[in-house]
Amino acid sequence: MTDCSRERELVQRAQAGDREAFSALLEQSIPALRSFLLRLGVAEDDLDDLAQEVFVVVIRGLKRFRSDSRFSSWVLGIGVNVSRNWRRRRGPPGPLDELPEDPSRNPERQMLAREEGDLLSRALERLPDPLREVFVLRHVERLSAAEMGEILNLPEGTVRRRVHSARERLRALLTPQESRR
Amino acid sequence: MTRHHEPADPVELVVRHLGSRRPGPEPASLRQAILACYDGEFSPQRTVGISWAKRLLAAAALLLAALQAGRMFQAGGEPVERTEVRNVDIILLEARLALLRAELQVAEAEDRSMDPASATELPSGEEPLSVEARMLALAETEPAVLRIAAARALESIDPPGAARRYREVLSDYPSSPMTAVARARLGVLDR
Repeated sequence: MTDCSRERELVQRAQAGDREAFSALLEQSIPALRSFLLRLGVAEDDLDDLAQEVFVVVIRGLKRFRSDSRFSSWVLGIGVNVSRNWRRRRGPPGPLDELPEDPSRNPERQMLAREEGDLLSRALERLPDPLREVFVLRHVERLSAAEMGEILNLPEGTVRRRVHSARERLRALLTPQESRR
Repeated sequence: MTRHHEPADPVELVVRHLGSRRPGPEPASLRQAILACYDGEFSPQRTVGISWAKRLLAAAALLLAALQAGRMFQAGGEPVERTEVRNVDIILLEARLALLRAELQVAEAEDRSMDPASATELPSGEEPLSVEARMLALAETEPAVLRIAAARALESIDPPGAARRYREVLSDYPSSPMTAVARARLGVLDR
């Protein structure tokens, strides 16, 4: 049985109230969702609350869910919306050039790596939501334009344009002149 | 790209950085709470049969789902309205499902010391009940749950108001298992 048909079968059983089937869907969905939310920039402390929010929405919509789209795509799509709400509540990101002080006495290389990681995360945070989402889906989750279109409910052409814009914006943000502004 | 050296391709660096990010281990309570939500929505009969803690969780999930939809309902005769918590988004933000996790820990502790025969039963019937109907039924059997949820939603925007509500739970429902939750939240607010 392919992953797709197994997933479809599990969804149908879960829709009929089969708890074991729903549990199996959680088994495959929760790790992917948590990684995805983290890479979208959700703070680690809020990760599990948001994952719960996503699945409450999933449970409430499960009876209406049609298997012509993939369950895993549906879950990630809800994750996109929930993470947008989270970002709105949290407010705008801080300036790109204000890296936090590192009070520890790590070797210089570790400190530089951490600063670099921090800077990269902040650059990504400064992208508008729609660009950040397609960037993560394309380059980190390695999804096709068709899959992204399904998740975001967008035409493939729009998705491709957004991926291109996201790359350009990131490049601009990460040039030395921009990052020091 | 950083202040220290030039990268070959900043976009690749971002991809590598993100790809290396892994969340911490998944807490066991996450899956339990989600499954309790599923039970509440799909197997109301099952929620009657399982432990009190899980029924409480399922009830709390339903409550939060109802709050999320901005619905109004009666809590032991007292209306809980969206205006009371000012903004239904704030309810979502603050209550989120952190309530579930807190309740899971407290209720499991309660469950260990509680006689299952004395637990309140959710009404069952051949026809599945709507979320609203189950919420109203729950409010009749355990109205303190609703007070707790409303207080939890108020915690960040009106801490004294939230504390007052928790104290009301202690005085109005002294025999409710929810008093353990109220005490725990008061402890957090007092810190």
